[in-house]
Amino acid sequence: MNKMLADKKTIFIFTMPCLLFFGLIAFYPVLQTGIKSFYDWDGLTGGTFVGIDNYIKLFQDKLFARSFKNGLLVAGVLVLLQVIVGLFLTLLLLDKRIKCKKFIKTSFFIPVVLSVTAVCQLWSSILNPEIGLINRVLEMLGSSYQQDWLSDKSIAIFVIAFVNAWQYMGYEFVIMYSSANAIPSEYIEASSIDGASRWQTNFRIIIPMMKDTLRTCLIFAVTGGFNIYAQMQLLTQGGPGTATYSLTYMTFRSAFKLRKYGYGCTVAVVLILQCLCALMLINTLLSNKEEEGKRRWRKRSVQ
Amino acid sequence: MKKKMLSVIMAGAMAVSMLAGCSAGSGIQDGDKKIQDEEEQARIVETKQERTKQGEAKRTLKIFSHYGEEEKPAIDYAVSKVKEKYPNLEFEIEAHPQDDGQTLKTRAATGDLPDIMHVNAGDVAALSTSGSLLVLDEYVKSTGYEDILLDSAKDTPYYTDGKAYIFPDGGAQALLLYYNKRVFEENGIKIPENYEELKEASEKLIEKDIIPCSIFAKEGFVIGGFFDMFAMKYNTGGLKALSEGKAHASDEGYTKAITKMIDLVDLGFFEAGATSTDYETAQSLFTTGQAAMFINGDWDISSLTEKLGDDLGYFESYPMADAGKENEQNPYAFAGGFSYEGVAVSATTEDPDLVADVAAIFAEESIIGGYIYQAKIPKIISIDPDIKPEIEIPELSIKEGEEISKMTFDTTWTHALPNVEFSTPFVETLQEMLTGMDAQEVIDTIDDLVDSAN
Repeated sequence: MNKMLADKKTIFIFTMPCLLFFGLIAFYPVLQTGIKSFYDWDGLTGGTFVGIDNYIKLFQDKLFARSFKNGLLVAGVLVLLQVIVGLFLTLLLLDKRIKCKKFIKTSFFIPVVLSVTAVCQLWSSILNPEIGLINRVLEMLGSSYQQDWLSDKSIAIFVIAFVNAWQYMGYEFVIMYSSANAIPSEYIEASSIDGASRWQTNFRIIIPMMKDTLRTCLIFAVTGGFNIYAQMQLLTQGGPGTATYSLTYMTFRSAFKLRKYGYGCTVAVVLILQCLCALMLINTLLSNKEEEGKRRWRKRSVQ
Repeated sequence: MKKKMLSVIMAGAMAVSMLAGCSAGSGIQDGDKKIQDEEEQARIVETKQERTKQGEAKRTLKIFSHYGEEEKPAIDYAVSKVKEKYPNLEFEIEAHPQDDGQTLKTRAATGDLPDIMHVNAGDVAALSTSGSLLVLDEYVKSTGYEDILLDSAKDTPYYTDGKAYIFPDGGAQALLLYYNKRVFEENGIKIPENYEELKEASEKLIEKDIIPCSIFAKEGFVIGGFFDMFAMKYNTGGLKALSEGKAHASDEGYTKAITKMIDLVDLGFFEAGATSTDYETAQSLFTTGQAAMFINGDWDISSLTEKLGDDLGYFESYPMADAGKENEQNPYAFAGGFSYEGVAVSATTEDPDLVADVAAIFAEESIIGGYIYQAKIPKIISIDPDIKPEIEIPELSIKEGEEISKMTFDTTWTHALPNVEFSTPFVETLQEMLTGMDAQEVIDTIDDLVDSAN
């Protein structure tokens, strides 16, 4: 076994089909997008090479600034509602005194399996300012507070982020809950014998041991926020005006509404770079230095 | 090893050069051979057509068309009519998704366009530049399609570049401002005839907790039409003139129109959340009496009549003119109009003569099918009076069908504007206008847009 792993040619032969397949369906389109971002291209003809013109235009485009900012806002809301609230719920459900755990877990997971179209239709009617549930309930309670949830430029983006967070919160919650449950009970028992409070056990034992899972959840939430599209298309179509545009929606607008596929590819490239930067930043901030050290030491000793 | 590699490379190079030589050789033809080839080709096409007609050769044509529950009977009827002439042709109907033409563009890019397809102005703008559509200039005449078109629709097959890409099947459609007679009557409010009366009526309706007008401004064409209702009172070109750079929002008439519409919007003319309201919600606000007026195209008459019966009415002239100038300010200028849509043929289809003929029959018969099964009154061809619709045509539709000849359409739908660099941000600006942008800001933004998009 060890001999095989040391033989680089064998490794290459076994992984090559997979790499070729991956390269064909994932890497090639990304590469094409990168190349076409330097073209004035309508998606049908060959296009004209324009150098970095599309990038210059993009960075001067007011819509880009708005879309970029919206991506950050949505990512922030998703981190708050999916990761932080999800973690809080996880820690809460670890408490043996909490009943109906199965029911709570299932309830949280139901929206994940629903179609995004159904969820958006549901929220669209709940949020309708004239006939929607929220404004009607507020009215019934005697409150004069009425909101144009999806047509108010200042709050529409947060409402969209909330709908996304509501739907996928269960997904991240299940990942975190499984990870927390996998922590050996000896550690928790030992801490309680040592007199650690529930608070201390959570913050000194459970959360540090869930670090890798939290990192994964954080990556999902942040990149999910940058990539948000379906909710915008179904709830506001980027409106009112361009108030709820994201970079993904801007890509769609450039390519399919303005028929500027080259410019659309430029926006897509920036979106990819934005996601990569976020990924690197999260990995750097939450890297497990001890583990890294051990891995490096093991590598050196093999050599 | 090196020698082996070298021999392989040389053999490859030889093979490539031989192939290149062959193709170059075939490229060098003298004039006589070219003519012979063309004649031969024409003979093959003729024989194929004859054989298809006679039923010796079988062929399946792909038709890409709107094929929902409503359209299905009309399309099936059209196909059955084509089969009467070409019994040996088979048809594979592919449903047209509402996807801004993405499917067609992708299929054109991969060389997989269906033989016959229903297209609109946006599709033609993208597909004509890449040469994906068959130019139908000759076929419009040779198939007799031009002869059946009404005089007012003779130009409809031709695109802005002067070429015909479609056998048109749409005709003019007007954007109407509907009203619920009962709501006005029950509240003792006069049905407005000019802008001042409209404003007064709106104030009274708001007092009684009724929305003056419901709109689904999530869709660009409706809000574009709302703009035109005001703008056309001063310039019949409306938003089309702006998109072509022939007018500016800072022109006196447009400025007046924009100020008027913002006054109404600020008054609360539309329901809250208009920019995120969809068609079903806006229509239900109107049909349940929560809103007194409603903006949509004339195609909605059947559905609205079903729900409101005789209470439904529409303004025969938009009540947006100044008081006392109702008859002077373009009373019959309507928003909407002809949109460039119809049946097109792929440039790469085998035997284009045959397919163009099939497409012409299909286009004509699908209009007749629409009349029989969907009660759609055709506006570009006249129908044989012996043909009777299977469902009752609402009286209001018949009335509108008669009145449409009086209406003038110098503007168009936002989605039919060829200048997408204008139409896309223009609609976005109008949405912002509904959510608090002031008049001067709207005027400046549209002026910038007119200049940058032209």
